[in-house]
Amino acid sequence: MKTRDSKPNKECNRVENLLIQKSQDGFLQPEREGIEKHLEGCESCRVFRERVMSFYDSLAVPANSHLKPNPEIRKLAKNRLKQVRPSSNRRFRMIKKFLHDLIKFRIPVYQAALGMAVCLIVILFLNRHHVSKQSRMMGQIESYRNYGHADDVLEHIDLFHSQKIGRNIVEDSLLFRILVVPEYKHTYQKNDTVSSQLL
Amino acid sequence: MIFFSKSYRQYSDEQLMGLIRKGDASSFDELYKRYSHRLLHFFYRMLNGDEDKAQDFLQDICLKIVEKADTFNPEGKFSSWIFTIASNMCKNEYRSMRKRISMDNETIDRNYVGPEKAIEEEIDHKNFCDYLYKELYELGYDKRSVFLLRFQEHRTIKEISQILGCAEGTVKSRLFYTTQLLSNRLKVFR
Repeated sequence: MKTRDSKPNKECNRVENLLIQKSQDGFLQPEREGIEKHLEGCESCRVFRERVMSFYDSLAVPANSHLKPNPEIRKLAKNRLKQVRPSSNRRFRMIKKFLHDLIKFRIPVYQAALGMAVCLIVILFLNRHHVSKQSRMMGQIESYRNYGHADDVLEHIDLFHSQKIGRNIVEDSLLFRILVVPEYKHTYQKNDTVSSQLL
Repeated sequence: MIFFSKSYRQYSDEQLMGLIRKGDASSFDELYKRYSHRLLHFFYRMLNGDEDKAQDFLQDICLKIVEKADTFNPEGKFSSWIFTIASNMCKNEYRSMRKRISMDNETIDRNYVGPEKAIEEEIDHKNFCDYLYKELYELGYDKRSVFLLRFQEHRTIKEISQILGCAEGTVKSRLFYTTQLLSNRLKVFR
């Protein structure tokens, strides 16, 4: 049997190398068997193995170590993370908050802008309504104009500006008779006053 | 709402890094919980037991995780990536320390009592640790980093070679030499 004083041979070097390179549970079965067999007969290698194990024990990070990370480091890094990489959730939250503030009138600039927008919408609506009424009247006049012979009458009595057309069904039908039916046209040509009488 | 909250413990380090890239602060919390103590101890051992400097280095590395998350390869191991950064930081510090020392013509104060003088003292585990650390501080950057990555961080030879950017054979020889050296110096504790 070898003693600790015996000179280490090649096998000792191989075993020592294996003990350094691999942790206890990292050995293959033949390696483990070979090491165990060698250690039985070599005291110096047994001592070496104990030493290596004591390195693991001594250098392991103790759970109750006095050495603790400064809590400020975590805060600092997290703040940096927020600056460097704003998350999509964070962006969504910001948009949501902005809309919430807007609705609750917490942002005074937007209160005025919203008021102006509402006014603009009302004005546009009224304007459109007025234009549509006028265009309806114009359409009716154009239909009369299709009967070309009535142009002079329309020009003479200036129906459009006096707003005579489109106001009353009775008046409209009377005008229709004057302008469209040929007998009335003939009458009109004979007597200049007929239109004023009828109207 | 608690029923829908994510359990970050289930995620791997690499998945957490993916979430950090998207700006998830809770993922950073989990990674910090897993690695802050280990990194702090690594820096502490690498920087001659200077706690303030170790805290500064921890802060720097945390900021690097946040700022340089895009440089992390999701197919690689996070632990290897982070310890590569940590050992590079230490290497740079060693270089600047060496420059400072040569400029100021100062020498490192090594006023510790060798193990031979303490034979008669009570030899216990704490003493062994103290002497081990003191011996460790006398080693250079290369040997110390290899030794700590192997025995403190339980990294494999392959991982250490990746972290330090050198061949596996180099790691093995450094490790063998350092272990033998420390084993001989600490013989007295047998």
